[in-house]
Amino acid sequence: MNDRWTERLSEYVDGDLNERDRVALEAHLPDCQDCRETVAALRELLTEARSLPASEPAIDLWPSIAARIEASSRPASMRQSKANAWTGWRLSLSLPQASLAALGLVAITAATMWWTVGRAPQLVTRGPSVSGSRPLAVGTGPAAPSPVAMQSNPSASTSPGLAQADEALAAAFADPQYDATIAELQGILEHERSRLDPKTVEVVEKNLKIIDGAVTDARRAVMADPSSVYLREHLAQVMMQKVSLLRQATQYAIAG
Amino acid sequence: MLQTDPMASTAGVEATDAMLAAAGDGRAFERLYRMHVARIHSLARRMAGNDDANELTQEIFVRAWSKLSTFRGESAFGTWLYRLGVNLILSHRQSRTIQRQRIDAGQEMETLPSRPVPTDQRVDFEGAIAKLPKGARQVLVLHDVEGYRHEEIARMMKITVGTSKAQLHRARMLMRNALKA
Repeated sequence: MNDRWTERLSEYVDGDLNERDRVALEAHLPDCQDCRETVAALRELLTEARSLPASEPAIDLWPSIAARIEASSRPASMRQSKANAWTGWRLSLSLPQASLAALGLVAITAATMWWTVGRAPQLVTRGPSVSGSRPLAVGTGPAAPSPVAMQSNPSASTSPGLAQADEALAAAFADPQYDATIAELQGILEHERSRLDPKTVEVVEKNLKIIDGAVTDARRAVMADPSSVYLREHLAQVMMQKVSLLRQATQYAIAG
Repeated sequence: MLQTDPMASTAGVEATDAMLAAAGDGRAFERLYRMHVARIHSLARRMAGNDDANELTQEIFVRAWSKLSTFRGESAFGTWLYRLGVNLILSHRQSRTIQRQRIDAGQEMETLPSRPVPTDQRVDFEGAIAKLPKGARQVLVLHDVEGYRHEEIARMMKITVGTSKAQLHRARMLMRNALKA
């Protein structure tokens, strides 16, 4: 049942009613069972809400945060002191957590390297293009273009600058560090697969297929237009999404 | 014998670590992370949902590190951090939508099932919060769980105090019905 007080009962419970309204409501309560019950329920709700415990994330997020912070752009003087500060950090991780964290750090560092190198003007070898950048590769997706395939590209003329740029691009697509990260995560996941819920396995496999498709498309787009910052950012995002998905699934499996 | 107040001692350690971190001490910042991660992650999970909580928690601490130079110690570091976190979570939805549009060309990836959790009353309460409409959920978490006042919530969410009060009442009534069911 609703009456003129129904919508104001929260204010009453919170002590936000002015004196006149509070007195009027308290005069109304003895005659209205609905309002009395609602006030009691709201008080109970508030008590419950205020006593909710804070809970730690299921995985340790610090390694990823540390890697991102370390890579973040800061004024040069600050960057130097930060770099020194990271040396000797202590992480309290179990062995499986530590190996996962290390894999994540490798991938994140590799991605950061790509961005840093990709944006460095001295690496540009033709016009405004940044084709000397180092996009990463996903080892388990569709095969990465080989250096031979790259060299057969008509754009790879006899110009030393162009040849150098395309070699760099081709080498980048075969980045062994990223391949190793993906392979190792998939190895752990395969080993621990039986500990995962079948529904989770199904979702992971479906999502990996979608990401692999997106990686292939993004990689083709970068090859067609290597100077596009947007396309390279997009490629990096989908590849990092694969690492992220594999890490999450592996953590679930290890945690049981 | 010299008596020390544990709360004052904790606040002192936190303030010292905040100063050290602002000067570039990564280990001090890690200690601050360990001290606050549970509450920040819970805030992100309750306000934005389980799927985005890890990403948001990372973003909040990365942002906090980059903004440490603006922390003047006028309030406790935790207060400053939670305020920064709330603002980031509230502005999160739009950027998330853009990101998803860029990644996905027509195919929607499924969300991994949440980790299994014990089914006690507290989980029902958390589950009921998660099912609230976004605006009502955010006001309820900020007011009833985090203890912000309507005036603060109105400023942060760019709504009126009246709207904040109405959303809170709506959220509580929905919670009451959900928990009764």
